[in-house]
Amino acid sequence: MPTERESRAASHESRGSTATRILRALNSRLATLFGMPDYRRYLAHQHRCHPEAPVLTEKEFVRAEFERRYAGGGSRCC
Amino acid sequence: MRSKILTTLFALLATLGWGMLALHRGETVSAAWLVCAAVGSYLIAYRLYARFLATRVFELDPRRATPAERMENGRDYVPTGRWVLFGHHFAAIAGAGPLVGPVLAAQFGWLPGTLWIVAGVILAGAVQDFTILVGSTRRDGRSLGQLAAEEIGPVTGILAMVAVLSIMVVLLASLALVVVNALRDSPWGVFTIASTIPIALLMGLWMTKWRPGRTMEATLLGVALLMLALVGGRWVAADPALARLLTFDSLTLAWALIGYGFVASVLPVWLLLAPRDYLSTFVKIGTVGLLALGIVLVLPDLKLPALTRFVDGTGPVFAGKLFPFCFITIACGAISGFHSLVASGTTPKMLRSERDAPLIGYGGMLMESFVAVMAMCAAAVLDPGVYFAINAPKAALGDTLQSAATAIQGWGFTVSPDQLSALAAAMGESTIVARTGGAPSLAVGMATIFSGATGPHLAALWYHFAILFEALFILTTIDAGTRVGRFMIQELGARLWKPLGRTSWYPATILASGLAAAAWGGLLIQVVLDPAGGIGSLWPLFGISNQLLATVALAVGTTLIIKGGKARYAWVTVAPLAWVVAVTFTAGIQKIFAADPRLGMLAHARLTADRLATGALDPTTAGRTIFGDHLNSALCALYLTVAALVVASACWQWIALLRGRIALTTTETPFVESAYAD
Repeated sequence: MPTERESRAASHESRGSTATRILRALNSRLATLFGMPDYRRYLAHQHRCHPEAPVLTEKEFVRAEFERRYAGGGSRCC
Repeated sequence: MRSKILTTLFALLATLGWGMLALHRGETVSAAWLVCAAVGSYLIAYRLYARFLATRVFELDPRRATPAERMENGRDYVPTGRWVLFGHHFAAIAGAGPLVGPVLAAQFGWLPGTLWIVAGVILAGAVQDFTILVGSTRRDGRSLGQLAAEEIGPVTGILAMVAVLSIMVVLLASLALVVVNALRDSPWGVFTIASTIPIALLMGLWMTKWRPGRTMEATLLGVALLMLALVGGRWVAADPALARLLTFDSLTLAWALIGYGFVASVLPVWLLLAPRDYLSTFVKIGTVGLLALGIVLVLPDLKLPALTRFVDGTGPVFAGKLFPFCFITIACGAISGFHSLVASGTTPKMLRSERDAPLIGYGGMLMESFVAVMAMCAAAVLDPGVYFAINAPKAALGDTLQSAATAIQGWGFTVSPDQLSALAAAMGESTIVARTGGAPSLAVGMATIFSGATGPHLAALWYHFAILFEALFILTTIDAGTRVGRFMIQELGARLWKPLGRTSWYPATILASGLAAAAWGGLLIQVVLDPAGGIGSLWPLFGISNQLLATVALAVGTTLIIKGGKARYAWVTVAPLAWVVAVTFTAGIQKIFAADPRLGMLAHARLTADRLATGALDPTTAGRTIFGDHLNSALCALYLTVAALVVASACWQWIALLRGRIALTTTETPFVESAYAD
């Protein structure tokens, strides 16, 4: 019986046709380019490295990411 | 073999470009050659010099695990593909600097600015960024301040941070002034820029509350709404009642921006700053690409001469001779001390392999320099008479179109009052005369270039698109910058009284934000109220402070190189350091002590005092001007002192290291084998 976090992770990964997967990959690359929070990457990392640790919901994760990135004002030049 | 062919090709490209520029002998030269010369030079420099730095000086090792690999946590330590990281780093370092600086420096003609933009970035700017990136990556992503403290001395670390904080004040005031001058008497502009705030708020709620994580979706929505606001601005400006409502003078706009900076820096980051950041990054990267495409498609001619008479220092846009002020004004287009903060910020934590460092560190800065070249093109495609009509202050041009035309004719350029009013109408503005600050000038240039491709009827839309493009990320910088100031103030305040450091306690955050906004706001208001003030007096101050931070970064870089046992290659950072020190100290001293009141701030204060004594000025204005001049002189003296101390203590370190009095210990993290197959 998959745990709640496993099914959440699984549903994020396996959905969709080739087109959706391509779009998702493009989205992920653009997201990194702009420094946007990447929930799937976070889930993948947690699953790989801390399988037993509780995982944040997408809403909590996004909030925490923004706080972390911009807390000091962010690294931006002139 | 293929490598040699490519290198030769790039060399030919550069030679062709520079050759055509050098041999034009009075006929108009196409912007294509400028771009050709610049791009060819960048490619050669990247292939030869960056590779030399990577292999001989830094000895980059693809087998060495980076902090992103060793400390990967799915959040900030994330190994990232080289091109994606390149874009990310470029978006972080590229701001309004490479857009404003070259436009102002075009006062000297397009040649000196372009030479420094290209030569400076290759030998100084890209070297600085690359050195700091490598140094930080090999030390788990430590910041410039930490590097300075560790490598040179703890006092230096604090001085570096003092330098950063004071630079931020001048930077924010300068950028705010650019926006103020761009939106002055422009209802279309005000409508479009003001609408970015509710759009960002909407995006913030969308990506955090309503559809969390859908950041790309929210950004695309934001861009669509932004374009609607851009087009809608035309109708607003055409309606007399609305136009009157949204027409503001400089002082009102200045206060509005200060208020915005204060409020925005107190609001939670997810509500305004984060969505603004994505929106402005999207538009910034898109527009840079569009401008490059535009120049390549239209291939406009450079109408501005290669050299103007104003190299002698009598220029109306800003005071100062070619040396040192051309270099000071270009600032970020060639070398920017601020980049060392970004290069030791998030980027080192995302570097997948040391092999990617040249592309991101050296290449990223080359890209920014390319933006500066395009800004120079946009300024130089303007008729010289038009360029000076836009960029010279009201004090030099007078109040009417006729007086402006006469003044410009006196400088040796022809322009008619009809030409000026027709151009203003084409841009959808009431006037383009004395629209200083660099943004209107760039916008007219960009509109001219884009209109060459799409036809003249879209000129007004392109003009306001260009204003939007620049103002958008300037406002984001103002938000982020005030926030940085707030955090630094809270950190310092916590030493006096603990609760002041609590970043979630509103009384403390409001107080600190207020102080931060007041710091740059005060400088802004002072410049706006000074009749002889403006971008011409503020931008050189920003340039000097930015370049002085660059001396700090280059000093730290040299120390890293010497301690790495590569003292024989230390010239790669020492040579640019010596040059930048010479330029900035000359400029700083001239700015404070020059006898010409147009240039020297103390001389200007003395002149104002004399005019007050003879009754030519009212006491309040005079008092404010004199105070401002003294304050800015003190600020400038502070930068010079801090930089001198840092460079001196670094030199002392180097001598001790080279003489063997201090052991060559490295602070690099120990070598760990990388798991990546390549």
